[in-house]
Amino acid sequence: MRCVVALAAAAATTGCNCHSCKRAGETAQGIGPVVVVSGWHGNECRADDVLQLDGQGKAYVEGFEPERNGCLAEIAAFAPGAGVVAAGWPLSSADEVSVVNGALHVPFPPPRTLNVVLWVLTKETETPQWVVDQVAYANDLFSRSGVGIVLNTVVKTVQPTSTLEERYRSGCPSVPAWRTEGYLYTSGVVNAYLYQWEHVANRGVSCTAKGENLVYEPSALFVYSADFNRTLAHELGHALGLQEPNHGHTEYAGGFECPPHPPNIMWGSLPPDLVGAEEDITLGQAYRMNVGSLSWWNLPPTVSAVSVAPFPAMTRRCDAEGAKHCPPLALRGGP
Amino acid sequence: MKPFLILALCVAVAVAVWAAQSRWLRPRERAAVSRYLGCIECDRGELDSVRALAHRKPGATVRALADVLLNGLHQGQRDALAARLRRMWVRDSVGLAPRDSFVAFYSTSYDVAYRKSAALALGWINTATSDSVLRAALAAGLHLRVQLVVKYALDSLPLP
Repeated sequence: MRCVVALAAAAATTGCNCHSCKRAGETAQGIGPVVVVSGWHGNECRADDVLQLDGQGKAYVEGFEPERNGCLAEIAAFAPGAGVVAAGWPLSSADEVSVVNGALHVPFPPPRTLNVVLWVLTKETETPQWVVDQVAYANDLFSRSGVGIVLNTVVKTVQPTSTLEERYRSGCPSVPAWRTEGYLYTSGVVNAYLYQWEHVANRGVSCTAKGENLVYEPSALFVYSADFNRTLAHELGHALGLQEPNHGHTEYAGGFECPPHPPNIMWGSLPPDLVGAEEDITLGQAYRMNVGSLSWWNLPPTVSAVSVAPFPAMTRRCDAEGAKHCPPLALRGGP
Repeated sequence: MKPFLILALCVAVAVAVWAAQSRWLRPRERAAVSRYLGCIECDRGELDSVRALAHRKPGATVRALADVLLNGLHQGQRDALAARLRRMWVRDSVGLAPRDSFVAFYSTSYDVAYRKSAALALGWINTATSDSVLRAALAAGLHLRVQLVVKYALDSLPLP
């Protein structure tokens, strides 16, 4: 049974056009509170929605429209007195929408430091230059996108052996043993394993996916290529709770594409024709990295060992009877 | 015109259209190849899409991959990349190599990355035509890292 939560009053705001879009990096000093709406459809889809009031009764809307998994378009809108809704989004009793009333403002408070240990499998004793470049790019992207996170990295070079090379190639399944043994693993930080592996097409992987035959180790990620200096930033995005744009970000939201359409760091591919374009992180993603429940910051202390004040959240569920029994997602965004 | 001639003409046109479509990749098909070439995790079936495309349109798919393997980034793409790398260097410069070295290194690296992915796909496709492209690449004096992957693609792909 599906139900649809809709709000006609805010419908006009969903037709966001380019000049009213705000992206991360466009600081929004003075703009009011922000709420992040997470949309769930089974375990597959969620939205990064940042809804801002600008004092003029407008709302800046980020929505998502995944191309797979049967999730239809979801546009959330927010306007003075109107509350927050998910419009045109088929909800079932298995779905839920949670609203985090973020107390954060743009720009974020002084950046938090994200501790990352880089386990670099290399014959060199010094930190390879390509590793320095990966860190520099991630820090630059997070900085200019207003994410509010600065990397504090410790590089540990690891002399390669055939066994270790095999373990690095195996990726996430190798991590539980390292964690148990306390070898090649540090608790309370993000562990990044870097290794130049020439004979594969994939350039990195994070251990944040859950599912059959997948090893969930949200503190771990792998970078396999020195060729793209963006890979560490992309994998850290996953560690901080982001998925690819067609799995929860804004790029497919109808009418929301701003030409020239910049590629997003979380796209799973950087095709040759976009190789010269600047990459970005949307404001919704920046907020999700900080307040999202799947962000490494907000995982249980046994995983992240970081104490972050929880953000007040509301979760609404439709009941099995359908639309008329879906609770409205009313949450005032005002202070 | 007799009905028979009209029918024959229609069939001929249809065959010509089909043949033309088989020779060239459609935009969506070209996008699938591009998406594979730049994939990060490559866990969304990117390689499988290219292999399936090669099954449907072997000539066009191998030609597209051969263009990337043998020619790398096009001039416009190289220029755009170099401009982006220069901007990147200005922003990130602490700890980076001198600007010209940085730009040169990553101009090569990105190019090498796409060529390597093309070589791997050709190895997985594993037809006489794709193998001939790989052999031509070996003889073309490409970057050493590309050559190593081309050799691997010829000798070891597809994996059992």
